[in-house]
Amino acid sequence: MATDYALIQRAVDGDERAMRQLWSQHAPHIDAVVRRLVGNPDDACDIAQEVWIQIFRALPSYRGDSQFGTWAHRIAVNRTLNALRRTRRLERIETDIDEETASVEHGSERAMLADSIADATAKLSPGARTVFLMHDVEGYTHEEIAAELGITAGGSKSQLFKARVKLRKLLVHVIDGFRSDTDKEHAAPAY
Amino acid sequence: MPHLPIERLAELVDGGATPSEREHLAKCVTCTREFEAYRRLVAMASDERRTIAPPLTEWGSLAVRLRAEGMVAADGVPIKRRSVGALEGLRRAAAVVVLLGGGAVLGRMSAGMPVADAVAFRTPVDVQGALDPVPGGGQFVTNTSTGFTSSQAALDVLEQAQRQYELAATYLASHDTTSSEQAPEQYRTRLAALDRTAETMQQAMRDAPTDPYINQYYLATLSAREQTLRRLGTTLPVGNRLGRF
Repeated sequence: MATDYALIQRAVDGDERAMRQLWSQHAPHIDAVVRRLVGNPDDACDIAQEVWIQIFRALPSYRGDSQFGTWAHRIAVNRTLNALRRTRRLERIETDIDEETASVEHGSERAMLADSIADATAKLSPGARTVFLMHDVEGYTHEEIAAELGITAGGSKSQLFKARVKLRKLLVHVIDGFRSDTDKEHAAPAY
Repeated sequence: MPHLPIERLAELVDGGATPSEREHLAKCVTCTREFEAYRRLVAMASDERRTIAPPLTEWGSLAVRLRAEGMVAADGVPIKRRSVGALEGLRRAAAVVVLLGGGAVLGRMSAGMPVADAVAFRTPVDVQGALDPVPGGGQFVTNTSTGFTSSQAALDVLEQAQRQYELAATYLASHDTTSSEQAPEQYRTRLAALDRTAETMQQAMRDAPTDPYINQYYLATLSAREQTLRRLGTTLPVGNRLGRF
């Protein structure tokens, strides 16, 4: 985007107004990514600040190969995952998703219901939530997820499908009454 | 045919159904209903990406950090930020130093020279500054700096320090008598620690590939690891050789 490019040039030169404009244009999306991946709003605030510092630090490396929003989105995901890794919230990914999946089978169905994707993913283990959000929400491939999380692509797939099964149960009342615009675009079965 | 497993239905949303699964889905109302439910779940997730919310960040506090890091111009004078290309060049230059040095040693080893001699027989790296002779043929840069006039000057010193480190590590590998009687297990312990450090630094480089500090530490770790491998090679029983470096 030409406007972005001109803004970026000024921001690289240290123009605070340009930096602020970039931030105000993209913060709603970038901060939403951080909020989704972190879950905890207090932690998300701190991490979002670090994400933006990193985006501005890396600004001279932006070459315009992709849209600025896409480039910044990648940084946001990467920095957020690193922050979560530092706080050890991505440990034992394989184990914790199994434990979480089992808890759906035996827990109180009513107490486990959620009203939205955000509510439901908050009930997943950190690892399962991360895989689901990266693939189904943020659009990463299994290979990219594997590289980011240090797991195999097969492990990423396995966790994604388990996460979907759990979310299906958590959102049963929402999904069974749900019709989105996306449905209209994919009227034929996708297999 | 029994119903498809729920995890398989969750997977089929991404495609890849076999002919028999397609046939089953065409006939089984229960599986089709469940399959459609997973499609709706994935559609909901995709819609979530377009969700926006009030920013978590606040410009005032961000601006304070940006000013503190020198990224905001004062009095409208544009700041000069080192381009990625320049930093990449620095990183590659440092990598070349390590690779050339390592390659020279390996070449001498392959020509039949003992490991210790091959490591010690290393052409001193051309460094700027006052050079002091070092036993064994190396040279130290005497750092007389009391301050730096620019980031470039500081980075230059960092690069020199990296080279000094490599020279010192090379010298120690062939002359350090205090560790000459270490058992192979001790070298393996050191090697494992260096591997962990290298992995950590590699992870950091993915975050900040152009950060000169991270690059320096990463290269220093690789250098130390290489020296340790060579020391380990000299402690193995006669006839035993390291399979690979």
